[in-house]
Amino acid sequence: MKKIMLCCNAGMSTGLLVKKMREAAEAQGISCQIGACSVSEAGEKAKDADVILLGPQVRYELKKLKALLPGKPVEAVAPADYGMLRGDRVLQAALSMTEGQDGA
Amino acid sequence: MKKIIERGFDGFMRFASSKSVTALKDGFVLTMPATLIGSLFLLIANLPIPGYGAFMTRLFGPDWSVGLDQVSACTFDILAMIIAVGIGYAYARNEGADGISCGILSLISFLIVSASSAPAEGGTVVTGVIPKTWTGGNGVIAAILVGLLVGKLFSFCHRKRLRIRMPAGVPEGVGNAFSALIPGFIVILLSMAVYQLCMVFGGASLTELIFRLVQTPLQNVSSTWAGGILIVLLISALFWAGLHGPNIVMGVMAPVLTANALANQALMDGGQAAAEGLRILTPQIIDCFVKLGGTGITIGLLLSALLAARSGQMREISRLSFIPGIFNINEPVIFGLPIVYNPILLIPFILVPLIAFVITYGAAAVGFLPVFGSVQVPWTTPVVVSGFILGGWRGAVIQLLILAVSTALYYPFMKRQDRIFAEQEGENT
Repeated sequence: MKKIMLCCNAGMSTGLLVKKMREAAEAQGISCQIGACSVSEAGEKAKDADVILLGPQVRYELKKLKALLPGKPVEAVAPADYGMLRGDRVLQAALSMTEGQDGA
Repeated sequence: MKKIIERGFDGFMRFASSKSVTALKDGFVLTMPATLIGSLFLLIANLPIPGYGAFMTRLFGPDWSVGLDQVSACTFDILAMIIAVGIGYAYARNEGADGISCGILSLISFLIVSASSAPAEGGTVVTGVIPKTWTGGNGVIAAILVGLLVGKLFSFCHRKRLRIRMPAGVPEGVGNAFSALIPGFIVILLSMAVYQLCMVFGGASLTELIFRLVQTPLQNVSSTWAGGILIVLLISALFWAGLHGPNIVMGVMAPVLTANALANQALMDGGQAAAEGLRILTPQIIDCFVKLGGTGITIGLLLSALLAARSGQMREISRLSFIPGIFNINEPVIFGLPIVYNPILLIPFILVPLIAFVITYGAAAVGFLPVFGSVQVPWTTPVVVSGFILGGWRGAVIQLLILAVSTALYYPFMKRQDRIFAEQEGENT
């Protein structure tokens, strides 16, 4: 089962998106684990995640997270999808990031 | 022009992601539980209700608050120690070195360069103590500098593999215990030299010198109209560019503003409520007034949209964002509407927080709103509730006023955006 972790400043606004992504996953019958945390907790909480997504407002933390979580796919969420809380699209983007990794 | 602006924001991004600023932000976050829990106890000791103290004294005797006071003395008054541990820890951890060893080392270094004596009554000096004068708000900047320098040194030693290596076969735990020895020795030796030099040539500890020469001027500048306006402008401008303004600006300014709040508390505890030296600009003014409902005070935009929006997009986003907005979370509006790089909404997004700042700072300057001390509320505390806890009914009134101003000011800009959305939707169908 894939584990997706979303990080933002405090894990609050990403928490809203996580809820939508879980609904989308359930609707599509995809079983995966999705959580949210703050960027400063990411080193611990996202250690066992398969994909890490970053809120666009903290995309300047990308470099730090990549260093903290070597070898893991880390990317910022597209701003429009983030704002409109499009759980299905963000879920799709996250899953395609793990596929890229499996192929490598 | 566009290039220059983009380059400017890129600069802020590089600044915000630099090792030192990241460690400063990550380390300062670790003080949050202490200050929020300390606030609760401090609040119970000083509820903003007239006659409360006298009432409690009649009920439980004059010592009714000693326990409560002890808690704030052991949370707020050791803030600098927590910062030293936190920043040292965060810096080393982000560099892949052993965080907690570096955090402890940073605390030791901070204590070495701070005074170990305190003046007592009658001009005598008590020795062999850790004076809380320097471990609380007054030691904040010194603790940050120590934390960053120790973090850098420790990580440097880690990178250069400057450590005692045990022969193969020695258990890993034993090896780790030895690996902090060389960086530890270097850090402590340097701290000792700094203490010696400061005492001999400066006549005071490094912590005290930094407080006098760096922190006090910084605090004074931070709490002026110009300082406040600059902070407020930067927060909005960065978020308009899609970067987390409060995180970047307050990441750097929160320690200074928190020191303002702690110094105010000390003055108020001394019974000098109306005394000079109170600094108006504290973190509470930013968290609960200038970004009420989220950066840009977009709650007014949502209210005006709920009242009068026609287009599907405007109605959808305001419906989606209203409940999070009550808890001061507004990323959905900022990225969803979007406000990011939107020229129409730039004006109110910058202007409304500025007006809110002028109202709040002005109300405190003329004495309508009390100047805030150490009591803080979590930044997700809803409007009116946070105002009441911090400033009694006057705090709640100021927040309602800001809410009204925000709604009125956003209204014309919301309508303009709404018309554009409606036209686009008309074309699509």
